[in-house]
Amino acid sequence: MHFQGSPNMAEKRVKLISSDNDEFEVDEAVAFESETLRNMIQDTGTNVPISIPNVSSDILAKVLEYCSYHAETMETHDDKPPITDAQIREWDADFVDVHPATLYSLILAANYLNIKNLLDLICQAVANNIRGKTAVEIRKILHIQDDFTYEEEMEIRRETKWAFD
Amino acid sequence: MNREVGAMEAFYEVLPVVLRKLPLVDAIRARAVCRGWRDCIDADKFKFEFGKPCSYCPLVFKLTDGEHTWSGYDATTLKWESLPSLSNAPRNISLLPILGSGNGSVGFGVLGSYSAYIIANPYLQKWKTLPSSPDCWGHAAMFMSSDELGGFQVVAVRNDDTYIYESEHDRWREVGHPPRCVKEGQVIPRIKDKACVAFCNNRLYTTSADGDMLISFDMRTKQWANQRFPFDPDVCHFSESEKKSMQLVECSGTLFAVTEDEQIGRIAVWGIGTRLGQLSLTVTMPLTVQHFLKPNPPTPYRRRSKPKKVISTGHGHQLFFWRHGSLTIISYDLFTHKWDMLPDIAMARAGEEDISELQVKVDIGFFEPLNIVQ
Repeated sequence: MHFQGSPNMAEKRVKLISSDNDEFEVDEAVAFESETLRNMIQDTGTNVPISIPNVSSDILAKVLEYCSYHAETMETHDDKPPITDAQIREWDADFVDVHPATLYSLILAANYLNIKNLLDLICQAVANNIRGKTAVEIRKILHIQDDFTYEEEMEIRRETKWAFD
Repeated sequence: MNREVGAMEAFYEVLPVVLRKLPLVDAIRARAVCRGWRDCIDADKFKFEFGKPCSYCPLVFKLTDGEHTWSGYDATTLKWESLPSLSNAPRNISLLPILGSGNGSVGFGVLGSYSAYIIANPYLQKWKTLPSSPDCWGHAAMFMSSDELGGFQVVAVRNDDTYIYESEHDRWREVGHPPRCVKEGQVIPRIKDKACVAFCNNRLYTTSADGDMLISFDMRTKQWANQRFPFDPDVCHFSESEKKSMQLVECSGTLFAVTEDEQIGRIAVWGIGTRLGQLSLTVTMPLTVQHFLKPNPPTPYRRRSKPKKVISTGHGHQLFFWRHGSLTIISYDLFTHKWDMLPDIAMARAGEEDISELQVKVDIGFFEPLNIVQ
């Protein structure tokens, strides 16, 4: 009844330890949403807790929330109608409706844990955040230092003046 | 501190994925954020998505056979691709100009009928005839646009009223009066012929025939607006003939004006900017490039005639230019700043002689099959 049709998999649980030493326990199917965790589990099995040194507990919780939901969408239940693509899109849209700083941390976590769909979703959300903003606003949102000389910046603006008007 | 540096490095690893998702205008603005971003965008410039993958523009239609053969130019493969036949249409469709397109569909008028329109999904061979409006509106200027969710709208502009059709509700409704300059009848033939019309950021734009006014219809608020162009003679050295020749082109969420002064031989592209402020000169077509747009030399059957008007359209990050009646198409890439000539259009069937420009016409429209095919 569980992920990839193997009945034994549903019973397997995986322990994950965040950078601030919080412990999370999830179904193997949920952890398998991450390519990185899948490789680790295949190497070391599910008995050893897996430490994730560069993801904090609040971000890991958020990532696992995503993985749980998406692992669940793969399941089929006789008594429940399947989750539609529109429902998944709506859920994803709510999921990324968070503070830009959280998005930034989620990007790094999704990249490290290699969860392609999550990375794609968040990159799109960050891109949507950047859309329509000026360079100054983008620097402020993402805490980026302006390292251009005045001449360099003027050159960029002159080359494509239409985009800056 | 080290952790922050590590985080920054990791962010730069995914930065190209983020930046590639930006529309052209935002990607170009993002070049001004910092050196890292500029270099990332410049290094990656040929991989940018800039909108939807797999789309064709401009389109060419073969007018002389019953098969309704058509092709589209794919700017990623640099090739013309044959598109599925339109010959199964339930009514006799008028191929050109196309009504509009988006999300795998393309709209056509019905021959010999003023208010009948068909929306086709050529890959699925699905045809939808739009319902008739409560009024028989006779001649109306029609324009179709699509939204991100796969629905589409058609705006019908008449002298005294405007109707909008929304696929979601499958009916027409009246949404108000066009501004006075539309009522004077200048704008309707321009929208009808797609002579000076562009769809940009949910607005349908056109200009008055004298080139002084920018007229828009907001698809969201269903309101018309017209505003005087902010021509600053110090910045825009427009001649009257350039103003009258003005065509509007949308390219990656930005509105551009293309002008031509026949006397001094200048074809220029002006950015109108997202906030519709001052027009700024984006690029002038070099004379060496303009040379390719010259009409074919006279033949015993055809006298040398005045060069036909330049027609332009935009798609992805490229602008395209050709002369009415000619099949030589020039492209300009807003990102790489390169001019190029599109490959020859091969639409002749086996055994047929080469097609002439009399049999094939280029349309400013685009076609995106992917979303529906999936």
